[in-house]
Amino acid sequence: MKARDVALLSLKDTLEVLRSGDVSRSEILNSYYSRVQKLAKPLNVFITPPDLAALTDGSVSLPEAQQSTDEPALADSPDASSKRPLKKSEAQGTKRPGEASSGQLFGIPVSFKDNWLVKDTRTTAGSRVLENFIAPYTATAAERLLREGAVVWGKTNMDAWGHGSSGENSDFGPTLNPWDTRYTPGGSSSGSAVAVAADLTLVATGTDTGGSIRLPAAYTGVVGIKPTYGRVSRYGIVAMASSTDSIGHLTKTVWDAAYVLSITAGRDKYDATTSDKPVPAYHEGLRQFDPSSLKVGVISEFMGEGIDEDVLSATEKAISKLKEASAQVVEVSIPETRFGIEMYYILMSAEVASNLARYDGVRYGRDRTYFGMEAKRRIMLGTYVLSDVIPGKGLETTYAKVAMGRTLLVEAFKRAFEKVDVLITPVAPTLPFKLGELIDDPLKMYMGDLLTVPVSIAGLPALVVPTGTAKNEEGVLFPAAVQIIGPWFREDLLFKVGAFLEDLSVHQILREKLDKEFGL
Amino acid sequence: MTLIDLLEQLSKLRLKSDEKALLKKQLPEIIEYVSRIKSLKTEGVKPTFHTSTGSVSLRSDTIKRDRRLRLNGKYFNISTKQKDYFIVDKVL
Repeated sequence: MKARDVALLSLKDTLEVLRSGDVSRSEILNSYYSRVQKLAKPLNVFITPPDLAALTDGSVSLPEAQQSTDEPALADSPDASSKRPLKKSEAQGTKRPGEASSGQLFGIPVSFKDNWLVKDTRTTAGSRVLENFIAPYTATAAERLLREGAVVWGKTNMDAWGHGSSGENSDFGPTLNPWDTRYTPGGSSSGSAVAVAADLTLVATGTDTGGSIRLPAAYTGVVGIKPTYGRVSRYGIVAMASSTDSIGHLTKTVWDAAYVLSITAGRDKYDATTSDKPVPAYHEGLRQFDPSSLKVGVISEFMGEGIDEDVLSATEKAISKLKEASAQVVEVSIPETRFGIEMYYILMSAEVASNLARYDGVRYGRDRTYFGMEAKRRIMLGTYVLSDVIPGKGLETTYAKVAMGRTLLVEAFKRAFEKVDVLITPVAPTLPFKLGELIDDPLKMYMGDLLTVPVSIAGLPALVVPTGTAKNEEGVLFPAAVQIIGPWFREDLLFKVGAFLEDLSVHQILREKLDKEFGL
Repeated sequence: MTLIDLLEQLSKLRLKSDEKALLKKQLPEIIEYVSRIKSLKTEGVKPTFHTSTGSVSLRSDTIKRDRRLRLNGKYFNISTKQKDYFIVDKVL
């Protein structure tokens, strides 16, 4: 295998070539580093780029796998391994990220969205407020990846504080869409999505409060999982809206996403909202799935007005593929989703205003004058809705009204899942839009979250997979994707349906394009 | 005091004049849009504040020494300090 091709492998294939001894860990990192050097800056992917020299003391060679003598061998089950106690050196914080000597991700480059705390690394959340903030501890989900030997492969660019659907609200400049750099890659996990799409990393972490993993996954043609609220710990992640923040990741394939979730998911004593439900080995048996017994719902409110024709047609193609495999497809109406944007922007802004109150210039870095325009807009809106008392309703605020609306939405989804196993929808109303196109019209920008926010409000899991390509009105080719929504804690089912629907050739098209443009 | 001035004060923000002018235009439009939620019928509906299920994950209420922020340590990311104290803005 040519060195340059190593970075084009999926996580599953990379683990296989490592196991067979065809490729070493240092060859993997070198292959990725070579692409990072050529593509990361032009696409503005990282806030803190990977530092290969620091990881290898300049020798560009990493220790190969060895059986640790001071702990039991890792169990096959990721769940079991996640409960492994920290080694003394890890617990004391003397072990630096990337220094584990074995594990299910040993030597695998993982890029962290810059709102994930990794001890001793700069964590900015995309904001100048935290430009010099050094994380004093590591997020639980990051710790689980590092325990399995993952290498910290840079901190990725993002909309400041997670506020945005395009990546343009980053205080460190926007990330560009590798399919056409005049367009946005979606946000807020913009850098993470582009890092995976352009093969600058094998896995990138994300957060999804209203669509921040799903939108960039769709716009760049990678797989994005937004788990059930409480499936993955939020501890050590810079909070945006605490009642909908979901911790997930972006990968090249569905198998890869399933494998990584098996490691990050599970109860955490530092996050009281995490669930103690067992974590299955999500990646097992994905290809054996037979959709003929599957009942699929199509939300009628998501397939009409406000959704572009090219997006609808791509979704219909994916639905047809399921029908051809004898899955039963039925239309489902969830009228409560019509209030999704209103509910989300009230809930989210109120929680944002509350969470960002802690940035007072004393404990975390710079003062509040360093907030960007979008953060200021959301803080002001949140402060308004928290003090907006509804006439004739005593002290009932708009926020409390939305909490009741949320009950109605949750109940509506429950009723839908009594009839169907999963719901299939488009991810965004349009294909990617141009940089600067919506930046001066925040309300129009918020409308881009129309199809993702109801899922967030209800705390449901959703998986985005590329299913093909589509051309916009200017004839520019972009990936097409669908959102698969499942009942609470049924990520296992989402991965099965996703593995059936994913089109792995989409990533290949982008590779050929980047090869030509950047002479890779 | 205008609505924007009041919200600025409550939010502990200091807006520049161009930011204030922009928000004076944009915020009422956004508020008008999201206020459509008031037409949703919610009589007798119980509120949902989060969607967590199952048991609450708790830990003992003890101080973890390795997780404490130290004033003079590199993790206390303050910019204004004097000897063993940190300096905050005047409140009153």
